[in-house]
Amino acid sequence: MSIELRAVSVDIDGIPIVTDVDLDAADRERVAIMGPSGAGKSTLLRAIAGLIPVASGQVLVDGEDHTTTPAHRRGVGLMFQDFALFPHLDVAGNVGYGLRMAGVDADTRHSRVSESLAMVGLTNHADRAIDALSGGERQRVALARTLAPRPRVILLDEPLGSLDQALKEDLLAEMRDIVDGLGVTAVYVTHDRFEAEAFAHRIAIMRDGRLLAIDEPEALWRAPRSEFIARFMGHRTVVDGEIVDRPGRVVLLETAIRPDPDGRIEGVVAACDFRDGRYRTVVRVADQSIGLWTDTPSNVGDMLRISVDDAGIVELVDEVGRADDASESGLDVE
Amino acid sequence: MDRGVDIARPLVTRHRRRWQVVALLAVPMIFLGYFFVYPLISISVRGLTVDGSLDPSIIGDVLADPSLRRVALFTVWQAALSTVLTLALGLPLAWVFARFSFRGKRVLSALTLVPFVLPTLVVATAFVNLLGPRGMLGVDLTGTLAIILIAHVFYNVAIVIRGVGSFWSSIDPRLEDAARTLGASRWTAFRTVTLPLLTPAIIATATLVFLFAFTSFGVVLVLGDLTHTTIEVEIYRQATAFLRLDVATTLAVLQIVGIGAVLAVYAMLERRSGSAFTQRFGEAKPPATRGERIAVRGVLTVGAMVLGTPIALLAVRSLRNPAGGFGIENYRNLFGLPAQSAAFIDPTEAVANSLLFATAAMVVAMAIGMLVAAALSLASRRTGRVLDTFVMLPLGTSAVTIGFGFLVALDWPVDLRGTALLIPIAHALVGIPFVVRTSSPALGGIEPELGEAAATLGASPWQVFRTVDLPIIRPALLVAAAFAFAISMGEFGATSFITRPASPTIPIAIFRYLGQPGSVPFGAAIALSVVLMVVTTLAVGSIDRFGTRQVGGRG
Repeated sequence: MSIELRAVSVDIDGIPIVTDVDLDAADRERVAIMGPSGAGKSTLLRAIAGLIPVASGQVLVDGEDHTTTPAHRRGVGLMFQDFALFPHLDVAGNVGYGLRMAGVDADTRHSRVSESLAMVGLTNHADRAIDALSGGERQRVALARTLAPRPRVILLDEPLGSLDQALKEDLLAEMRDIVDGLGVTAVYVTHDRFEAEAFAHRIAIMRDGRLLAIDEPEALWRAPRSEFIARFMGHRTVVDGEIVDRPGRVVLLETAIRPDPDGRIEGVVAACDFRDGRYRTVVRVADQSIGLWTDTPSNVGDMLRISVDDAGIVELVDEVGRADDASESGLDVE
Repeated sequence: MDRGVDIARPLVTRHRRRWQVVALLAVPMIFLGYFFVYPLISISVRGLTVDGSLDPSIIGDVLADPSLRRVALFTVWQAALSTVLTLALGLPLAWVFARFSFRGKRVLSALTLVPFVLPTLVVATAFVNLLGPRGMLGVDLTGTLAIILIAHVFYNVAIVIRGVGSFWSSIDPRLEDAARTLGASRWTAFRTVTLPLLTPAIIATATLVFLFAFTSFGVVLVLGDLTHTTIEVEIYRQATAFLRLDVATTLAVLQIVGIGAVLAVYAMLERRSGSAFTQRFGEAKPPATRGERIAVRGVLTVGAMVLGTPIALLAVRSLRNPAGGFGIENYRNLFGLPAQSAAFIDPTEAVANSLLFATAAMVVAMAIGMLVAAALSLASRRTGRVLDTFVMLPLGTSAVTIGFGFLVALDWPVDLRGTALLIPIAHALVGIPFVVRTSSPALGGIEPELGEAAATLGASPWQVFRTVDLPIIRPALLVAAAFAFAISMGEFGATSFITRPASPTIPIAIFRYLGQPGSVPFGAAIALSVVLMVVTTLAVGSIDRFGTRQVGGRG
């Protein structure tokens, strides 16, 4: 099942939270929405689920307009941040809730609850109380509850937000496999790039209620359009420079920067830390910083020459005019 | 769709929400307007009217009367003393219950609630039995300040234990630990960390205790005398014994003003002590050092003696036959009390009436209270605060003023004063604040995500209410119902004004028996008090069970 948003805007108490967002997820596609907190990601999800009305625009599920369909008839599952499990129901009661609402008879419900619990690896937990569960178990119950009524689309709102790091990685892989196995279309909201990259086919980046870009992770990484996207995708070296004859702002892909005794750029080592078997080195050139990986350590204060492959210099096309006054201190990288 | 059950969903726009609030409040406002505000206004107008025109200086005239001035001063004085003494006993108990675990803690903490929910007439009877003319302790203290103070401490100490104790246990004990690692001694850590955090709660609780002692009626009516008396009792005497309605109404106005002042202080402090206190629920540990063990044991022993003796001896006395020797004669007499006068009250009839009234009062209080609670959960913060304060007013208003107000005002548009209908209505008025206070936090505490989760799983707004909201607030509703029932069973102040000879309640019967000579009526008063005590304790016992289950369920 596909989902499509056309120019969706959402206001809360008259304040615009989401503005003019176009977004689509094809059948079986997994899309991540990424952005800092306050970007409007969760609000957008709630609008897709029908929990808040849109101010304008359309929400299409499988080509059908569902903009005004109430949440309980939309067939869109939502997995909540902090899970929102029902405290007065046990695990089976939570997982079977959607089936109960759909009027599924008790026997079928029972077997489908068992099925769902088996899927998330909680076979023997059916009659556990919610407060007797660990954080990871709650997460699994929440996933099973969302999937049990077989929604057409599922939305996941920071589904790993409150868990610790090691657990996150295991659960993320598990969750992706389950969603993939069921062939459900999924929209996943997070502020964590690693989660987004690991889960989604495509990543959408939001800021201040607007969608800045949507593309495959690699494309976003290789050709970020703005410094905001570049930094969100993990780039640390964004500098001003001359692009042919005009000033511009570029990102230097880390894979393209290396120490080189004949390099055209020389700077002072500002930091050098051992990490993952190599050295993370920061070089100050003019008043800009360039980060690179080196195989040997350098002393802070030493001079270091580096070179940058042309292919690794990417212009941030949405940053036009930002570097007007930077040309004197600018870096001649081309 | 489903207006009024779609609780606090963000789906609801502001405008629609406002209309829902108005719709929910229509019935409660009519009810409170007619049965609470209108009588209060009537009584105030009457109390301030001299020779057909309003003249507030009449309050000054009343206070110029030396005997009435003495009553006013005594009322304030005994309330202040009662408050200090109650804190002196209550704070150590609050500390023990907040900070330590010990064997039997659950039972004991439930038992501390008993005196608080005991009807005033049972408390009065218990102390007549203890320190009255035929007192089991051999001293007659009736008509003294001492017996009034002791009874008030007994009655109100639970407020301190519960009010301060629960707040205390919510203060993270690690705060004190942190202070100790920073060089503070045990006492300094308490004084500089815990005490400042606790102060708003202590003052708010003290205000409440002061208010209850200030408006004390049944206890003072039975245990005091003509000089050791409160404004509350004086209103009753002036109105019913001396038939001075003018003096009584003016005293009632004075009482309303006094209570208003105390309540204003309380509202201010409560808001402050109720401010976001989100630390985790402090876990209680068993007393660790020898000093702690001695302190805990000592505090609990004193507490048990003060709280337990009156109740235990009341039960013992009920088993002493009027003619001497032990037996169940007093209880048997309840089924065949010899009629001594025309004003004779049949105990079984009183019990039947009380049960009937309490059931009716519970239903009314629940209906009105839940409508208000639902409105509160939808209302904006500011509206909510105003509404909350308004609904709490009957709790602060003296019961005598409510009963007296009914008598003065409710002959328009139809004369309701001759009907027994007013009794459950008066009781419901007192019960409504409790219902609102218990169900509103439960309703407001439901995370909106739960309803949203249900909606995304296919539940319609009505199904969300039925399958999510209702099951979650059910324990709170049971607590509210039990409270409303228990309050009605024991209500005396308002009932004493509006009671009909044909429909006496248990407290009215007890009061009548206490005033009759001879050991048979006295024994009946004792036995009936024990019955009432058991009924209210059972109701409250269920409260504590449901209450802890609810808390435990959130683990």
